[in-house]
Amino acid sequence: MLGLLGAAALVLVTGAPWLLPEAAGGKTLKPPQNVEVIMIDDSFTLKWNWSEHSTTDVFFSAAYKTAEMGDWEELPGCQHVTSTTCDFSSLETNVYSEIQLRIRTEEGSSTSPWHELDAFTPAKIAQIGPPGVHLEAEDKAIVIMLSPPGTEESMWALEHSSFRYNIIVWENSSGLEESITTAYPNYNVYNLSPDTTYCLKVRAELPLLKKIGFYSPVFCINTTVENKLPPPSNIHIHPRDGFFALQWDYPYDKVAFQAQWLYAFLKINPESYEDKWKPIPGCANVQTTQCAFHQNDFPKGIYFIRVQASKGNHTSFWSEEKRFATEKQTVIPPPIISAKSINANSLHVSIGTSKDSGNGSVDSYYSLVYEVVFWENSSHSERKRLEKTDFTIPDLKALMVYCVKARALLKDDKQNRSSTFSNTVCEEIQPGNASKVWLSVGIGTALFSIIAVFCIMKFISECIKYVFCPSNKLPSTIDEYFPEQPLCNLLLSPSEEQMERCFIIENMNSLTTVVESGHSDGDHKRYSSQTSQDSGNYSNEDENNESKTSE
Amino acid sequence: MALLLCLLMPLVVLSCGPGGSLGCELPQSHVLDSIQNLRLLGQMRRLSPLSCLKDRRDFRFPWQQVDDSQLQKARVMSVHHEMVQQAFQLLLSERASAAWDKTLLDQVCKGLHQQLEHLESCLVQLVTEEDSSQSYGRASLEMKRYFQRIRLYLKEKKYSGCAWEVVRVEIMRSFSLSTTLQERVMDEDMGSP
Repeated sequence: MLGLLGAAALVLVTGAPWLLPEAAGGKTLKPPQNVEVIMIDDSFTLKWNWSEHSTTDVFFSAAYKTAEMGDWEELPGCQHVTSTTCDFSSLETNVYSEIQLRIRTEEGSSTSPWHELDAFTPAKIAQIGPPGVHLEAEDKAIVIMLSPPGTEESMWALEHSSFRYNIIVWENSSGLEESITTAYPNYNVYNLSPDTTYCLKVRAELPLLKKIGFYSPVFCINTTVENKLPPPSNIHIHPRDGFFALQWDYPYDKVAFQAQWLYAFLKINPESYEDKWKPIPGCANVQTTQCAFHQNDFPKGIYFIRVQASKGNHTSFWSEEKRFATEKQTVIPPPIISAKSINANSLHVSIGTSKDSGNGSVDSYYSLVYEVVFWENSSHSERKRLEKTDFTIPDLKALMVYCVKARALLKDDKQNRSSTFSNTVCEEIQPGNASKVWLSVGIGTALFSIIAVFCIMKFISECIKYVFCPSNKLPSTIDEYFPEQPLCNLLLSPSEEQMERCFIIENMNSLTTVVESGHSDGDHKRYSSQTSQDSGNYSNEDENNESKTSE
Repeated sequence: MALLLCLLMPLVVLSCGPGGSLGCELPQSHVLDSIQNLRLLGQMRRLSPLSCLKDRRDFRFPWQQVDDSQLQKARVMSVHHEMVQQAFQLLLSERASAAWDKTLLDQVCKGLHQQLEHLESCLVQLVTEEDSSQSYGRASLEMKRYFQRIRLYLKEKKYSGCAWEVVRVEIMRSFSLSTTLQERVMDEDMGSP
């Protein structure tokens, strides 16, 4: 009996641990399993499993830590919770910083080991909830006003302008669907039928983060009965000589119109911008389907424009909002050009900018290229080049006048914007150094040839003189009777009447003095016949004398 | 020397590729717009920064994202885009319109919006071309983290005048840095020395 009691006690003692697993100092508590973090917009939820059976109440507590914090801190909303889910949305943390979570089971005074989750960035894992939807009906349009998912200072506070909204609209009866994607939270669906029921659902997307949100619930609305005055349609805007011409179509006459404008960026704001529309000066009350406004009134930016018709007390709905992006009327100041002929047959051109170029130096921020037009002053044949600011035009005709002008263009500009032409500069092209050499050589050659010709002529004249006009030295005896009378005179100056004076010599032995007659003609002296021999000697002597005298 | 030039020429030609090689073209006026916006931000000042010395805060601008010798166009674009977008959103908020002069604020917002339009068309193309395993660019994330710090600071200081002034100065600083970065990339793109 005692042995039986003892054995039972032993069994009880040994069997106690598995019979009473909650005994103090026994088996450890299990932490929660399959812990999940669910974040949708600003709602942060922690979910887990805990399948252990227990008799007493079990609690769960969680903690978090970020890189900036040194130690673990209690996760708000997740302390001593009894269910297997908790909401820690009140946690204020930088959603773009990594965060670590851990959770454990608590029972009485015992705790399980921590179950730690991998670190994560809330913004990366968060899902996009449905956007808020507010609808207003017109006769042929529906005005949709969306509010982005989350609150103003929420998870997506930094993503508001990145949201893209996908709207699915369908006619309730026919089921014809239309899918629209828009960047603006305020969107109008046009070209609808009056007095019809339309339904829609919307979801928000973040394309750059490759996130697609949940659809909103379906909203339905009825379009109104058709309005007497339809809204203007087919709005278009054209730039024209410092103005913008705004034109639209309208089926009826005798109707007044007004046009309004809005900064495009205001449409990105989900808040209502209805009160932010402003009238366009010059288009506030017009009777025609067009109006014009100064380009200066709309400095560079993106705008929206809408037009409304009115007749008496009736007004139409606003037309479709037309997006209008102006490009800055960039005033590119004309360059200043200077040209100088320095080298041979070329023109050195310098392009500069005027000092008073307006708001700072435009050139520093724009890449400019220059179109240079130059032409021969006489022929007006033009040639163009696109160049840098300092260059030389080669291969020009020397001593011709060339004129140059230039204008600046924006590099790679689709609109080909340019400045007006600069001043025109005309320059005479100087001949080159090589040409100068040739010129001087030419001149030298000409001079030389003139001198040469002169010398040749002189030489020829000398020759002629020599040939035709020899200086004969007659013997003294004859000489006294023959006054120097060059024979060349006979040939060279035949005009002069030649006078011959002849002497007849009868007796050689004694040369008698012959009485000279004073007559100019027929005076002659008579010589004897013996002179024939002497004449032969005579001529030789003469020749010798001649040669001597001619030297 | 001539041989060296011959070898280097192809490199130069390749590196001076057209700006549209990444399928994205920023208009010429982009940098000019940035500078204009910066000027407007400067004009917005209401309080003397000296009167707000005690409210100064180091927002830990992510320097390592912008001060990189390897200026990849895609990364620079995403940093600059993020910068412009966050500044734009901050100034677009209702709290900002309560703190600043309406006319100037409108001008700044208009300018920033225009810049954003240009940058976004570029960036969407770049993102589709890149490896889509990461939905966040590292640089973008750092920028967002930085701006979130600014927003939390404003909330902490209850959107006081001095807090806004500190934030305005901070935005100007980082905006000018981002613009310089953008300019540098565009210059490299056009192949200027």
